[in-house]
Order: sequence, then C-alpha cells, then structure tokens
Amino acid sequence: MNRHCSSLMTMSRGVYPLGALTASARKKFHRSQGDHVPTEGVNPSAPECRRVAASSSRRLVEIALAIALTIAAVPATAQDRDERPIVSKEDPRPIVRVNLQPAAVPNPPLKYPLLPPYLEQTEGNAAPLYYRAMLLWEMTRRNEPHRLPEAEASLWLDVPLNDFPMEKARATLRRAEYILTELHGGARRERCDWDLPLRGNRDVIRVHSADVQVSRSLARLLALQARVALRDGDHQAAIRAIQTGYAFARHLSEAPWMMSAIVGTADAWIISQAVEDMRELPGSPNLYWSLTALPRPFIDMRKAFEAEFVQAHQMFPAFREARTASHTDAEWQRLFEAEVRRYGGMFRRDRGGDDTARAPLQDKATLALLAIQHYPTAKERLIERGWAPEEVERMPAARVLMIDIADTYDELTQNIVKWLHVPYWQAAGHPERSNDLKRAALSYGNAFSLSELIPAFDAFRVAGLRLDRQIAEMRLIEALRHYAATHDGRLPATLDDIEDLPIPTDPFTGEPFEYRLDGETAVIDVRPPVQRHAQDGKRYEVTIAK
Amino acid sequence: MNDRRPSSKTHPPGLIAQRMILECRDSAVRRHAALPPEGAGNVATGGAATAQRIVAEPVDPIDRCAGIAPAGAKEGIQRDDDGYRRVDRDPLPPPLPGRRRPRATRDHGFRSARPAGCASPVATLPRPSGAPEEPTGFHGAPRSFLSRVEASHRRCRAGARMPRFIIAIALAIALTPAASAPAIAQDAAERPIVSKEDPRPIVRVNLQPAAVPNPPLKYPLLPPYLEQTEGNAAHLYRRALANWESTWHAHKTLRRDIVRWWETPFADVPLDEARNALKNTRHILDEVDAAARRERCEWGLSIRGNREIVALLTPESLDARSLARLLTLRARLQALDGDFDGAVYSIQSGYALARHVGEIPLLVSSLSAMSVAGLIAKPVEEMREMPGSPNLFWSLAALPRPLIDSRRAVEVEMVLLHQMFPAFREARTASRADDEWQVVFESEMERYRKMLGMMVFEKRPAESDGALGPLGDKAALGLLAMNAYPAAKLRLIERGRAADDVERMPVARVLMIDIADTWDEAVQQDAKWYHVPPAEAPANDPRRRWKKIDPDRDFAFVTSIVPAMQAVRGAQDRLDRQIALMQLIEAVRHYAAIHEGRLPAQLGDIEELPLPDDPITGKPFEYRLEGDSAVIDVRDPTSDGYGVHVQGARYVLTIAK
Repeated sequence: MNRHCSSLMTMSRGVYPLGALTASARKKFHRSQGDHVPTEGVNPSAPECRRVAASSSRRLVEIALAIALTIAAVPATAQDRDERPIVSKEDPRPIVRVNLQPAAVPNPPLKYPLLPPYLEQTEGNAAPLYYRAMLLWEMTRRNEPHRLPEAEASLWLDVPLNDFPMEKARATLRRAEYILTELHGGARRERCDWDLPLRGNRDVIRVHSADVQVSRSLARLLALQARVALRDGDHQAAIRAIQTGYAFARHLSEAPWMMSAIVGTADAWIISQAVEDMRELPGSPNLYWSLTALPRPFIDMRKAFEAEFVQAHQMFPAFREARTASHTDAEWQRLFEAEVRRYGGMFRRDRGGDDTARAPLQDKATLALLAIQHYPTAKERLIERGWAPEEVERMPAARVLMIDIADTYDELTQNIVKWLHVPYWQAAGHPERSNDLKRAALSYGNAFSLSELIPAFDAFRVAGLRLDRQIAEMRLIEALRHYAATHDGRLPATLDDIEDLPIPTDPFTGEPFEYRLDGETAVIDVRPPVQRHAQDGKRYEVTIAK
Repeated sequence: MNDRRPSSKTHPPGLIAQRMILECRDSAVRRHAALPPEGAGNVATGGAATAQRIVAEPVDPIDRCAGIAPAGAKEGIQRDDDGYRRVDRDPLPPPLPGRRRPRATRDHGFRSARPAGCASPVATLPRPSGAPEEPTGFHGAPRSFLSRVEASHRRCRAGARMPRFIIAIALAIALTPAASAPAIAQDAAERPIVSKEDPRPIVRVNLQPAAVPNPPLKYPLLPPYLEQTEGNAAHLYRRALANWESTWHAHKTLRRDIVRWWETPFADVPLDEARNALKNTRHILDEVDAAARRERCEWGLSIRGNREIVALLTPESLDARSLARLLTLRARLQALDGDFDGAVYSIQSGYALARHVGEIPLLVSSLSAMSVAGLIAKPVEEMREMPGSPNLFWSLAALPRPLIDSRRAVEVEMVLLHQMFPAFREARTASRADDEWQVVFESEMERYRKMLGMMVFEKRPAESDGALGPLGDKAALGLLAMNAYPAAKLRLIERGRAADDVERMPVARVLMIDIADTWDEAVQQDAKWYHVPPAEAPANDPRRRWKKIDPDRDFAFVTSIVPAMQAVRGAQDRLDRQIALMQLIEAVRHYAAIHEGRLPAQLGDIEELPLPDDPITGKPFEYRLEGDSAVIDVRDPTSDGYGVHVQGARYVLTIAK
C-alpha cells in the first residue's frame, strides 16, 4: 500500500469529521477500528484535531473528512442510534423508522424556500460576517467556556425532538445570539468571497484551515436553533435557521479549496437534521418543492477540483516550466535540486521531522545518483509522449526528469479527474479506473512521490453525492407525505401512484429508489453505491402517524 | 443585395429565427438607445429599451420567426446598414376591423388594447423587391408549431396573455443551439430531410478518426485555473464592446460579414477578407481573451432593488454575440491553418464569455449566453472533420452542466412584480389608514400602467392611455376594483387568512394582497418545474402544464409579466444536448481511430469511454449502423411544457478515407 493510502487510514482513525457523525456512529466507527471509544469525537478543538489542522497536512485532513462523510451516511433522524436495527447480518444497512405526518404540498409551492430568497438578500460580501462569527465563537469558547457548552449542543442534536432539553438549549441560544446574528446576516449577502491566499501561492498547502473547521460548530448552533423553533411550533423561524445553515454551507464551498467544499458538505448534513425532524411534526409544511428547488449538486466542487488538480504545478512551478524554459545545464540541476528539496521540506517535515526520510535530499551526491537512476526511464517516457528523440537526448538529465514529473502528474490527475465529470454510475464500474492507483506509483524513492500530491478526488465526490442523495431521499419522503394527505392517510402501493409529483432518482445510480408497501409500512431500500461499504446504504421504514 | 449572403434556405432550422430575433433585438436596442433621455417618458427614462422590454416586444421576433406579420398595422419596410429589414410601425395601430369590444366592466384594458402588431389576421410579411425570399414559416418546423404560434397570436389579440410570455418562449426556442440544428455549415438548400412525415433535417458528418489524447484533458474548453488571473472580467468585456462599436462603425460591412461568414460553409468564406477582419479586430479579441481568463465576472448592473428594472439596458449580453462570432472566425481560421492549440484557446474564450454573460441574473441574458455558447460550438463541430484535429471527448465531458445556469436569473424574475411594485407585497403586513391604502393602490396601478405602456406598447404613457383602458382612467379603475373585490376577498380567506381580518381590510388592501398572492401562485407554479430535471419529468410531461390563472379573473393581468421559465429551462437543456451530441460523435471518432477506421455497430461497442445520455430524455441516443454510415437519431419530445414543438435531427456519420 502506498503512503497515500496508509496515511489515509491513519487519519481516519483519529481525526474524523467533526459533527458529521452521530454519537453512536462515532462509537461504532471507533469500535470497528478497535479504538478506545472517545466521548467527544467531533470537536474541532480536540487536541488531535488541532494538531493536525495546525500542521501543513491539509491533504490528510481533507481525506479524513471525506472518509468521515462517507461514514456519515447514517441518517440523522432522531432515534436512539445505539439500538438502531440493521436489515440482516448479511446486509448490515441500518434501518431508519420514520413516522410521517401527512401534509400536502403548499400553494404557492415554493412558499418555504430553504435558501434565503432573493428579496431577503442584501448586497455585499458575506465573508466578513462569517469571519466575525468564527472569531466571536473562538473568543467565547476560549474565554468563557461555560457560556457555549458546545459538547452538549452537539449531543442535543442526537436527542429525539420530544426529549430535547429545551431550557438548556434556549439558554445556549440566548448566549450565542450575537454569533447567530452575524450568521443570519452573512447568509443573506448576495456573494461570498473568502479572499483566501490560494491563487499563485506556492505554499498553498500550508494555508491554515482551523477557522473553516469552526464552521461545523456554527452549523450545529444553527441546527439547534432550528430544532428549538420546531419544538415551539414556529416553522417560519425553523425555516429561517435552515436557510442560513444551507446558505452558509454553500458559501463555504465557493472558495476554490477542497477543505472548504468538504466542510460545507458536512455543515449541510448537520442542517439537514432539522429538515428531517420536521416531517414527523404535526402541522409542519410539506417541503417537497422546497427541496426540489435546491441546487444540484448542492455543493458544487468544480472550482475546488479545478484548483486542486493543478496544485502541484502551483507549488512546484519549475517542473511545468521545464517544458518550455531555457537554462544552462547547471541551472537546470540547481532548479531540480531546489524543487525536490522544497518537496522534502513540505511533506517530510509533516511526518514529525523524520530525518531519515529527508536524508537523501540533504545529500547532493545522493540526489544526483537518484537522478541518474531514473533518467533512462524518464527519457523513454518523454519520447513516447511525442518529444523528438534528438531533442530529448540534448536535454540535461535534470530537465528530462522535471518534464517527466510534470507530464506524469498531468496524466495521473487528469485520468482521475476526468471521471468526476461522468455520472457516478458510469464512472464507478469502469475498468479503467482500477488502474488509477497503480499509475500513481511513480516515485523517486524517498525523495519524491507524485501520489502524495494527488488529492482523494473520488472520496470528495462521494461525500458530495451522498449529500445530494440525502436531499433526494428527503424529497421522496415528502412526496409520500403529500400522497398520504391527499389519499386519506394511505401510503402509495408503488411510486407510480404518486402521479402529481415527479419522483427523484438516486444520484448514485440514476434510477428511482427501491420502494414497496409492506402492510401499513412503506419500505425504501437505499443501496450502497458501487464499491462502497454497506453502511453507505440504509432502509427506510415509513409509517403514517395516526 | 450582396449575392454572397446565403439564402434563408441555407440555414439550419432555428438559426434564421435566432438571427432574426437577435438582430431584431439589436435593432430595438439601437433604436431606443438613440432616443433622447426625455423620449421615454417619466417612468423609463434614458431610452427605455431594455432586454426585458425587448422580450416584451409584441410581435416582431415571433412574427419574423413564423412569417406572421400584422398586415393591419401600417408598416414601412426598409433595409438598414447591415442589410437586414427593419419594420417601422405607425405609433398606434388601427382599431380592429369588425371586432366587438367586450363588456366594459370586464374589460381590463387588455382586450381592446392589444399590443401593436397583434391586431391583424395572420399574413406574410411583404417582401421588398430584390430581397431574398423570407421564410414563410419556422424553418423546418411542423405545422403544429405554426398553429401554436397562431394560437398564441390569437390569445395575444384577445388579451388573454401578454406577449412577453410568448416572445420569451419564441426566444428560448429560437436561441436553441444546434442540438436540433447543428451549427456545422452545409449546403442547406440541398439538405435532405428524413421523410415527408418526419421532416427532421439530415446532417452528414465525415469524421476524421482520432483517439482521445493523454493526458485526457489536454485541450480544456474553458480557461484552465493556472491561466486565470485575479480581477473582474466585466470591465474588459465592456472595453471590448466599446471598441467593437467604433470598429464596426468604421468598417461598415464588418458586422454583416461576420454574421454571413459564420453561416457560410468555410470553403466559401473569403479567407483574405476574413483574415483582414481579424486583423482589424485584434485589439478587441485581446480584451476578450484577457477577460475570459479573469477569475470572476461582476457586471455591477443595478438589478437588486431596482423598481424600474424593465428599463435596464443590457447591451453587454446582446452584443456579446458579435464578440462570439469574431472568436468563432478566429478559431475556424486557426483550425484551418492546423493551429489546433490556437483554435482551442479561442473556443475557451468563447465558452468563458458565454458563462460570464450567463452570470447576469436576467433570463434574457441567460438566453443570450446560450446563444453565444451555440455560436462557439461551430469550430468544435468543424474540427472533427479536419485531419490531425484532437479528439475533444473528455474536454466536452468536463464542461459544466448546465453550461449556462439560469438559476439566479429565475430567482430574480420570480420576484419581478414584488421588486417593481413593492406595495403589493408589503400590503400583507403593512399598516395604513384606509384612505392611504387607496392612494397607494392607485399609485401602484398608475406605475403599472406606465410600465406596461412602455413594455408592451412601446409607447410613452401619454400615447398609450387610450389603449390601457381603465388603468388610464381613475373612475374606471375604481369600478374595476369594486367588481374584483368580492372574489379577491374569498381567495384571501381560501388562502388561510381569518375571515374577520379580511372583512376589516379596506378594499384596496384586499386587492393588493390578492395581486401579490396571485403573482406568487402563478410564478411559483411555473418556476417549480424549472428545477425538475427532464430525467424526472420530461419536457412533454403533462404535469408541467400548470393550471394557469384564469385570464378572466380581475387583475389577472399582473401575471402577464410572468417569465417563461420552463421555456428557458428547455433552451438550457437543449444546449447541454448539443454538447452531449458533440461528445458522442467524438467517442465515435475515438472508436474509429483504434479500430482501423471502422464505426461501432452499436454504442455498447465503445467500451473505453462512458457515453453521455441525451440530457432531454435521460436515455441513450438512438444509434445504428447502416452499411458504412452510422445514424444518430435525435428526437425531441413531441412538445415541451408550453406545447411548442422543437425539431430534432438525424446525423449520418461516415469515416473519411
């Protein structure tokens, strides 16, 4: 297993996604990993989180987040998760029981928009208000830790709505009012420009992400506000909090940065808990069309992907420039050594200053030996790619190696990224994809490995798609509520019976969800995506409240 | 008449209509932009020819598309510098001969006050001597489309719906890119059709085999991240457009030439003239190239909170098509010279321009953006027939879907009434004295009257007073209000307001709340379907035909400015289908390259590449092998949500020997 994969697994044990997991899911995950079950697994202030966030291993944090979001397929509906049944031993998908309150779609149908409507938006940039909210949160948390009991607030989200500690929750919201004001204001700004130092930054991998991670705490706060409003029967206030949460999640993803996109995805998951709560409350509006009007994909990762997939060129521009630049032999040699040393400094240092790993890079002679060792194959690859053999022969060895690194990087990343533009069900089963990691094996021993520069694009994509599937599931269940309301509380025998509403499809398969009526219970089988763990699926058992 | 100008018959279906509508809109912009500031009256100052207004233009575009013209209206037809016909009408249309005026109490002023040009029976536009034969129908469109247009026309005459609605549909269809009418130049005069019963055009493509490159995204069709720079693209586009204005005024034929060359098979384009045109416009394209590589585009238009948004001019989006044609010309010449990297660079600029224009949150700008994207497809479609051209399968796959996202524009247009006439919406919660409600109501109706006169009748308010019926007459408005009040009150109660509250409300307030609610119902019933992908409910799904507001309902006319959002969604999907089709044909090129020039017997044989489905049907394209030719049948659903038929095409692919 290459270093990429091993680091991925290591990270997934310690630092997984804050907030995206429910308490029981966290416990289960740790048990499955043979770890001690932590009491607080999703706190960004947890020491291990801070350590990782503070390091330059942003890539590792991203991977961990994506993995965690993968596991976060466990639905967020309020239930006692520790007792949640599974379909069978052979099919360990969790069963989610939902007791629906019938409700027809409203007229006008988009009466309850889940993103701030145009007329409520104001001009200006949302980012300053979000930054203020993050700053206020951090200051309060550090200076007055009793004021915002984050751990409790996090756990409250797992508590069924009826068992909700309302007074404590209200007190927390009162104390956090000044933070919520900033969030509501920010969410209603028409644009969000985070102004992160990303473009042209050669040290982009060192951009600190702790502030972005605070956003999960803020999302939990908004979810809490929505749930309190729901308990109070104030659906408009709940919708407003949900609007803010969803807008915040989307604003986060507007930075061309994978970390932001992933955190935005996690935040949207947290907010969706409140949407799921609503369907079981008497008098709550039907949100079928409101959910339908949400953007798809909800978190658009395109900008982040575009930026990430040329990140190596941005960090080590000399490799790419070697294709066209003109230098003396000595200059090429110096450039090559300098870039490889930068690489060593950037990645090896993250491993706790492992001198053994850095040793070859300190030694000019060793580096030269390494270059000579890899030069013949690099030369061959350049010729295969269409360079004139005479021209390649005339090139200094360092330049050949640098061009080879740039070309190989492009081949690797583009052969991975191209599948992100294809529907998941086409991409997942395609035989060409299985070769991706094999191709990623290019490395110059300890000195340089391309695989470390390539983000886990696929894991990020799955996290985004899972959120879209969650929205599709919520739409489907709202369609059942509508049917029940217009058919004397009955559930449809088949999905085709719901004639007046279009039925959503599973974004992983492009097909309708599996549905059947079993007595008075509707069963929706959500299968795990191709090549994914069974826990990525679930079974809904839907009944109508009497 | 320049004999090089292709006859109308040489254009693929839709392109004529597209050009005519857009040129018509250009003409309108120029006409109105030339008005003195006071010329547009006190509501819409500054010329008042907006994109919205152009959409609202009563009949020009649709008449020209469909060959329908108001013979009853006195018209003078003349030819402008570009060689396009312009129609100037008398300020006021004559009264309808033999048409009985409806009951006065039910006449909102919109039945008798038919928009200019909607008055007369359907007729063919008279043709000036020497002018090429104008289309007598929507090219290649079946009769059902014409009958639809005629029906719309009749409804328009009857005042049931305002023309903005219809024109937007016509625009959406006409702006539809080459999904059904490929941009590739052919001698259309000889273009065969599938059969008399199935008049879809046959498009023949002689492919040059080419395998997908490695790395696969070697030729991105949007500017790659590393080539982008910080800053706002809008400033550079505006500089380019200003330069374009001065340049084409200095070179009188340039504007016409680039239109003509775009439509002409490349073999017939005078290369020296084309190169010279590019030389004269190099400074313009430099600005466009730089703008396309800016990381953001903020147009800074005064849209938010603008109560007179319909008076907003958006030449940025309308004239972007000229820039697109220049880029297309450059890309075609570069490809002809074997400079495929250069051609791809030009295409990048074009697609980025389209997406930047699409960021203007107005539906008409979205449609312009789709038009730009449709124009830019031309060199992509031509390159596949050129030896040595790269395979763009993955480059096309990597384009965003939808390429032009109208979501923000839909958001803005959904609240058009509330933005323009905020008092209607505020009536739900505001608190006023009874007589204040009356004053506010009359004031808003007066503003509505002026706005409508400008939007629909293209007249200054004073000129359209007579046509606007009771809205121009305070006493008649009062009578109309009293008539409408009982039903409005009932609707408020039906919508959940306490009967006691409603009874206590002044009449004016009840009417205002009812108008706001009616608008929300109408616009949201349409907008909700914009968000449903065709895979969940195809364009011809009967559920998409939402129950329209009864046109006989008093004050139902407020819904006349409801934008045709589903039609825009249809245009958006057809643009995506154009891209999917190009992608599919690139996959066939790839297969031929790695299978000794053979065509696949079925699409399943192309195992190396994931083939796109038809974005409109959500199903694979129809493909079959017939001897040495591959046939791809592109069919449209019989009608979209508005009952408008859009044509498909049959592609016949061969491999170049």
